[in-house]
Amino acid sequence: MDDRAKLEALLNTAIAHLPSDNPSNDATRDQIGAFQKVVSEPQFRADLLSALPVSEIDGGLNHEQVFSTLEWVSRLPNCKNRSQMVVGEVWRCILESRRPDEVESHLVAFSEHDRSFWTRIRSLPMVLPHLQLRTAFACTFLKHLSDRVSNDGSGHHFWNALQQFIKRQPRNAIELLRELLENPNSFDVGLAAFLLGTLRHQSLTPTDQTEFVEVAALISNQSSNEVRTAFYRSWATTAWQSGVSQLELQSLLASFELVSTVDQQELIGVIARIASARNTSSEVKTESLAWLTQNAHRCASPAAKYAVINLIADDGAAPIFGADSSDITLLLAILPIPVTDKNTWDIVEAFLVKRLESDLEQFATVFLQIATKDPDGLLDVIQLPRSFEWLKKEMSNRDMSTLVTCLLVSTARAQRHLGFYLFDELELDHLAAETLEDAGTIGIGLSFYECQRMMMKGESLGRFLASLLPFIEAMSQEFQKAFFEEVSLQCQNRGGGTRSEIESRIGTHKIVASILKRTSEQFEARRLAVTSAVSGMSVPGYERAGQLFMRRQSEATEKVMEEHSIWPQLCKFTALLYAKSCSAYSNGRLTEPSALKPFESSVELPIIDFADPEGMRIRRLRASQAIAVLEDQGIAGGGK
Amino acid sequence: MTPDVKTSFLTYYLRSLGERTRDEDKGTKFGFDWVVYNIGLAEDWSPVRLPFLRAGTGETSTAKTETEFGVDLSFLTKDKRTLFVFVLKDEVLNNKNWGKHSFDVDLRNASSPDLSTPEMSEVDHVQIVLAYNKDETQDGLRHFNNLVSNLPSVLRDSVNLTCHRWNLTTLVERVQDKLLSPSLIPQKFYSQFAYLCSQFGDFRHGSDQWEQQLVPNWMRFLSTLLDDKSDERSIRLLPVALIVLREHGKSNPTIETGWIELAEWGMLAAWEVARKANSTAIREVVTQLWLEMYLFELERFYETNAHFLAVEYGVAKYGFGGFVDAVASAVVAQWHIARLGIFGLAIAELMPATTNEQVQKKGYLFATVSAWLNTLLKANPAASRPLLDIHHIQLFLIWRTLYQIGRVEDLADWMQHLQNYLAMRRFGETSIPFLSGSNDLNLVFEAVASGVKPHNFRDQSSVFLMCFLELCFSLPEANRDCLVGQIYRRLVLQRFDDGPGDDCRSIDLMLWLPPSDWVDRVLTEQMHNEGECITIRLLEPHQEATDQAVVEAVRRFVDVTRVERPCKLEGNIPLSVAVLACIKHGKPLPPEFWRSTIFGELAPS
Repeated sequence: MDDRAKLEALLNTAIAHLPSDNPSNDATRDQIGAFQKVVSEPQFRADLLSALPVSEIDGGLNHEQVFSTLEWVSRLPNCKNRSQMVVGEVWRCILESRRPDEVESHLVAFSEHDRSFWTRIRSLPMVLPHLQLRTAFACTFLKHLSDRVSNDGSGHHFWNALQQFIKRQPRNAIELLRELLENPNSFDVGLAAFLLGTLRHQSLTPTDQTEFVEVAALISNQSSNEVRTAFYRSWATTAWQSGVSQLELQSLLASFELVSTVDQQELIGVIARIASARNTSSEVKTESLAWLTQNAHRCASPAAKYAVINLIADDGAAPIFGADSSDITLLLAILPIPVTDKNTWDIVEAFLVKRLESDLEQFATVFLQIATKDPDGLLDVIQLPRSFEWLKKEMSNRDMSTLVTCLLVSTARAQRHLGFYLFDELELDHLAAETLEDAGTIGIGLSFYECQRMMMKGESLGRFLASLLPFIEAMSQEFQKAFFEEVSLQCQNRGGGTRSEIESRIGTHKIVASILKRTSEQFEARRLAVTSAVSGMSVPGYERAGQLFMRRQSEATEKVMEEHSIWPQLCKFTALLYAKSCSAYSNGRLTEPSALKPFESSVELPIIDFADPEGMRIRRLRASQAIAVLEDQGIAGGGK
Repeated sequence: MTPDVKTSFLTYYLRSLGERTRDEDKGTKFGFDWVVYNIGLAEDWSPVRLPFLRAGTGETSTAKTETEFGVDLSFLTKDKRTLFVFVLKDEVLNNKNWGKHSFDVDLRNASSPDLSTPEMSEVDHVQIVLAYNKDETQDGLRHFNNLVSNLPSVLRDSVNLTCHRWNLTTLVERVQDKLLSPSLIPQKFYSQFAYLCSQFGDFRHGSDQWEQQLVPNWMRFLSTLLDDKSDERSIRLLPVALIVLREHGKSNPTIETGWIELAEWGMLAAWEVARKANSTAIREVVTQLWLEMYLFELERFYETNAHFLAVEYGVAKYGFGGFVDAVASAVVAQWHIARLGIFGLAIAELMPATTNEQVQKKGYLFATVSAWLNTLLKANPAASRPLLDIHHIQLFLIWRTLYQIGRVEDLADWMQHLQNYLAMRRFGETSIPFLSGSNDLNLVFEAVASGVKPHNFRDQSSVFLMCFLELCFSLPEANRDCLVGQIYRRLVLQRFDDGPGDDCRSIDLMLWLPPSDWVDRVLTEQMHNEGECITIRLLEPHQEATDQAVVEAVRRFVDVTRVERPCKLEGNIPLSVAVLACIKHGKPLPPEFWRSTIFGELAPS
């Protein structure tokens, strides 16, 4: 029997004990225990070591050979889905037989390996706890691993390994903390927080406990903000691993007023994480929530806001909020959220979508409340390319007319802008008549004059104006004149979209019908005029300027497309130089040619905005003046 | 151009020609022998006898000195069966000239042609044509008819003989029918002019090819045609050249405005000849051209197209869908403002108003032009979009056209409107930059197309704004003070009504004063680097720019400059022509054009 066969046979004796399903019950855990007992037997380990193809190179361990051996082990047919366990034990066996310096260099090689790192890290929890590492080396090694795993999905294997290490070697973990403190400039907050948080509820010897308390105090009293951050964040780790007691919580809360502003922000975030941790008791959750509700308005740092939003959006936290909408209160308390905090807004989006799916009316209320508290932030973030697409898609499948109308008639500029944005983006068919009626002359006036300042699709503008028509007769003569002038102007300005919408929706109205007729006549007259001798002449430099302008437009369009479309992120664009069909060659294969498929999209340009930019700007300024007057009346409670 | 006008100018031209074309010390003398020769070619006749030795292009054919035996030109028809014999006379057909200028002798000699040569072997009809580029009297006609009735009707037993008469009218008809082509123009201009005709047919007015090729070629043609030795005939050639050009441009959709453009260059060249020649006859001819060709054509053009001026956004370009179109539209609008303004100015200056009828007609034209202009301004925002500092000329013309007819209210409304529009650009509220002092349209286009002002785009100095301020003084006080204050604060100082904003940069006001011989040199010379440019500080930094303070400051400035730098516009060309020259050459306008009306004539020195 060759070595490989011998090795496989040996391993199979241990693998035979492994269950094939996930360890979700006691029987399975017993089987794993049996496996571990077999592999821990000294004879087994000795036989394993002699069978393993481990050699040396340059006086040290041949790392590549070790990795390829581990790879071979992981592919053993009998490993089933427990290969990381088997590999872990083999790996541990190898390393335990080597000199400390060989182990260190091997771990460095592992941490920097391209191929093996992400596969072998799954086995690290079986290896790391059993290694006796120098503190200084462990500090550097673990920091490097922490950086490398960062936010990767496989990162939990690393933290799992570290947790096992701390459980098994608490003394060394404490030494690690001290080592981290030696170099505050290269202090790893995440690593320190994890160590501190995991050690906190470990069973420690009295000496170790004293040592731990001293180190914890050192960290919490450090002058460096970064170091103190680790102290606060360690409580989140404790909460997730073993839970935070009510006494501990109260001690943290008591310190809130005594610490710096920076620390206060950290504390808010930590309390939120404690409240959302699975191991936190309901009493602690309730007390945390009550405190957050009272203090969330002081929440300022992005990290703290993120933590609070995470808590609100967490399904698991729903029971603690109860039916009194305290989650909404908490959400509103931490607004505004900076537009740049994309992750936080993503969670807000998820929260809103869930609310939309469960209760439309409540969703509208929440949305309006957010729009009232942070209209600029919501408007800015919802308009960003590829932002809130999920929410917008869900909103477009439901009747949002009441919500949007409420926004449109608001006395707050940003809300009106948000309303117009949604009206345009969701392609709403109409406005809510009841809401418009309730809004009265001020609300209708505000939305009308605001539309003069907004840029939206021609069809949307047409639908908006058509929706207002039934309410115009109740307005003043001056306003009615302004309204029909606007209809006339926009039928000319957007002769395609706006005019066709107005024609189809309110074309039978006497004044609108005459406007449409006059518009048609004007278009025909203009067509004749621009081709007549009066306008037929060319202008020197016009053609060249036009080409320059078209090029600039093309660049801008490409840029917008890159921002708004997902395709440039996913696909490689190749510019074909010649021909109208293309094929591809790779790996010795040439594909069949396929013809290019043309696609195009068009957008209607507002002709008068370009023909009379000064006049349109003056018009918008006048609209602003009218809005200012109406806003003052509205704010003063002018009512209808 | 109406048929009547065309006929009229062709008649004048043909009448001015001599009998023979030849080079003389005083210059080339143009004869209508060349015209008859080309009519013959146009009829597809073969020349048998010509009065000149044909030369190369750009030259004048050499006149023959041999005995003619009464025959100036003769042609054989294509079928070789008819022989046309021309006897040319550049005299009136009357009793006196019948003998004095050898009408009788030459006709008799011509009626016995030599038919013995081989090429005449198939001739069965001889037509004698007396061609004279003048009119006739009854006596002259009787002489002719008597002669014709006594001449034999058959030659050599089989060849019919008939006599015909081509007077001036007939010649004009023949030319209109067959010869509205470069061949009508004297030979020395032929190739240059033929090339011009083909360019005029192909190039759109205002295009790059038009500006870079056709206009320089036209200028070269004009400098050849109307040089220092030019006489009445040369000047009369100008409308003929324009008539021929128009024929060649029929397929060009921009023929109307293009023709006006070329006519303007022609008129400036003609006026320069009139100015230098110091001849009453030449001056009368040029004045006639100015009135009956150029101004008449302007009137006809706008009468035909005035309804397009009234179409909202009708004077516009819609090529590229951006603000580049707005700039191009403004250029077109400023072009029309200039022509309407010059028309109005010329009416005031040159149209007689001694009889009631003349006064009525003048008044009617004033009202019509101002109505056209007002319509253009109201219907087209591009008309309120001056782009260059030199567009102060158009500003002056608008003011002048509306003011002279008494439409002060319309004027006040429009000036307020213009101020509002300029304020939007001044505060950067639109993508169209403020007035460019570089007076280079390419820079404006580049600024709008690229979104970035080019390096040499100068908008920190302005003669336009100073002109605008001064023109306000023609308004009633109620309108004037407020508008003057707004122009100064918003446009000059770039301040909001409620105080200075961030990053406001004031514009340096300027005024240009011409050299004393400006009127004499305006037609041909640039002069924008001559004269005097005054940089103006109306108010001291500590002075508040209230309406009253600015009004007083402007008035004081006008008074000081008029006293210390008096500028009189005296010369022997009409001021409307001088304004046209400024527009064509892009030269600034002396302020006395409006100051004399608004602030009174300068006291004699």
